[in-house]
Amino acid sequence: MQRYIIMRILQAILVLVVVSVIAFALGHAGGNPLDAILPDDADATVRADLEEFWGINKPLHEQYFTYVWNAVRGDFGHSFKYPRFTVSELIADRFMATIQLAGAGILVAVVIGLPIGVLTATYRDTIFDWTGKVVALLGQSLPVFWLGIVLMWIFAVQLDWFPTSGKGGIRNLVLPAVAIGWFQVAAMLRLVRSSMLDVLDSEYVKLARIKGLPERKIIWKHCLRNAAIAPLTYFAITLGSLMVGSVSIETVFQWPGLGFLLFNAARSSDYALLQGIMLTFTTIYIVANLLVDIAYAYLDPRIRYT
Amino acid sequence: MAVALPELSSPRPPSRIGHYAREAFRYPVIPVAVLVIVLLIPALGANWLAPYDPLKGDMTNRFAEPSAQHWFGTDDIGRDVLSRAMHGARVSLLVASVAILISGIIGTSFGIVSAFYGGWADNLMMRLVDISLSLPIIVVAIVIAAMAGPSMKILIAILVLSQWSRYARLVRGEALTIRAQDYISRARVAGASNFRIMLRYIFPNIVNTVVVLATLQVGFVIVLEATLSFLGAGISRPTPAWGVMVADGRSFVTDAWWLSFFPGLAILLTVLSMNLLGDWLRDKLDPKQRNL
Repeated sequence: MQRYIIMRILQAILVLVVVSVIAFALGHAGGNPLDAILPDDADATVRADLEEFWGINKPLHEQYFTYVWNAVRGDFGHSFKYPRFTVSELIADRFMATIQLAGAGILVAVVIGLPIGVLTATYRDTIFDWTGKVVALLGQSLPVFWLGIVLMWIFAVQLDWFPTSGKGGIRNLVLPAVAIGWFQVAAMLRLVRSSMLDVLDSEYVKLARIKGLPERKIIWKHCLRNAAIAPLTYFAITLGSLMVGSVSIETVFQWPGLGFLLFNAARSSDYALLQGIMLTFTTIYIVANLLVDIAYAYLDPRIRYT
Repeated sequence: MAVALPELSSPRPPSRIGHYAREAFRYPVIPVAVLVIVLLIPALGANWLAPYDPLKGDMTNRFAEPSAQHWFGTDDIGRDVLSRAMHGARVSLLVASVAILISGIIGTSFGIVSAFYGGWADNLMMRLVDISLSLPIIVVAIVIAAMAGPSMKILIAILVLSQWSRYARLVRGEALTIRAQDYISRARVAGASNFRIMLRYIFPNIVNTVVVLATLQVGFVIVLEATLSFLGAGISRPTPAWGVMVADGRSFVTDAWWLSFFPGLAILLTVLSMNLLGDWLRDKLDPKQRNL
């Protein structure tokens, strides 16, 4: 177990190093960034000053270590597009909006996915089971950005129940949360279904039935409590991958989070900002995956590092 | 006094709906039909079948609603949405098949070599697979496309980057069991070279698994391609691609729902059918990979 966790942590660090090298290399792939922002006839001393300021005149490996050291301290430099702000300020400003959206997505997944999962496991080969299968299948196949637009058209444009885009009260959150939670609903449904099927087969459920407890109570109280542990643990920690998945939904609904910031930074070629967001997202994603794996290793002792 | 014991594990009698649904899904007739209509015919015949030029607009006929002349309506510069969607099928099919072919070849060779040589080489190669699997691909793709400029080549490269490791991991697992078989050692005794063993003795035994995984991945790759194009990191304008069309329609959702709706529906139908077909193929060809 300890060996597994240590190996897993080392691997996560290795991935982070690889990503930081990619980020660093990409910053240099476009040539000297000063060529892009300075006019061709710029004064040589101005140029030298700026090179000194950004440290582009130093050897590459030195630049890389400075870059990583700064990144670890949360200093990703200045945004080219918004020169008044540092990249970290911009990221911190948008961070909570993305967390909020991802959290709402998980809530949607639990509220919709959990009951349907229970129903599909309990009433196998009935209309419930088939509905569940269709939902699960659609969850894998629907492109989320399109789902977002369709939801927006139906509920914001035609019915006018919710605003089309932007951030504000709870009403602004509903449509993006449903769109982003959709894929997770399908995942939740499958997880709950399979663990419910295991539990339904167990001895204590048979005992509860022999005791004459009402079926409703057996399923929603005795079974669900045990069957929900694994899916809920999984969900508490998938926040990371949900955040990464938020890029297209935030873009559709112009939700002012990290994903939308990334989209805009890409459009305006704001490299420093791009690298900062990429490193932030990747770190969250990798740490979340690490936690999922460790949690699973505890929950299921059969998992071992091979 | 007799107590009526509740039956402990009586399976419910299968319902009629379930019965008919199962009959219809015994052979993937519907998915194949949908794929032919939505993807194959438009992709192969767009040049002859598309009613209008996908790139030429008609400024006198902007935002025309779906009608007999324009089944899917026209867009903001008067281009026919149906014709564009048909050409979009070609882009999706081309990008997805090239990306899957390349990642399949790279991943399969990687997996076989890794399993065959074992030891530190295997270890190193599998760590590479782990790294590749733990990259948040959409974020990386947006950054790469922003730096290198979006193009079809970059898009395919990104898709391959996100896909090859899945084949490598699966193939390695299969190849490990096959390598331990007697006929491999006998082939070696008979003087077969390493390369020959891998190509003629190991590969034929895993090709089913690879085909099943490839079919199951088509849908995923098409959605990923459309998502990247939607985010401006894939196919660039004015080439008609489904993801780009959905993205362009986003700004006009209040006035012209058909701009985003139809290309998105095409993505949905294609991916849905592909997934159903993949499930069916997996059950037929490779029943041991149920949890793939």
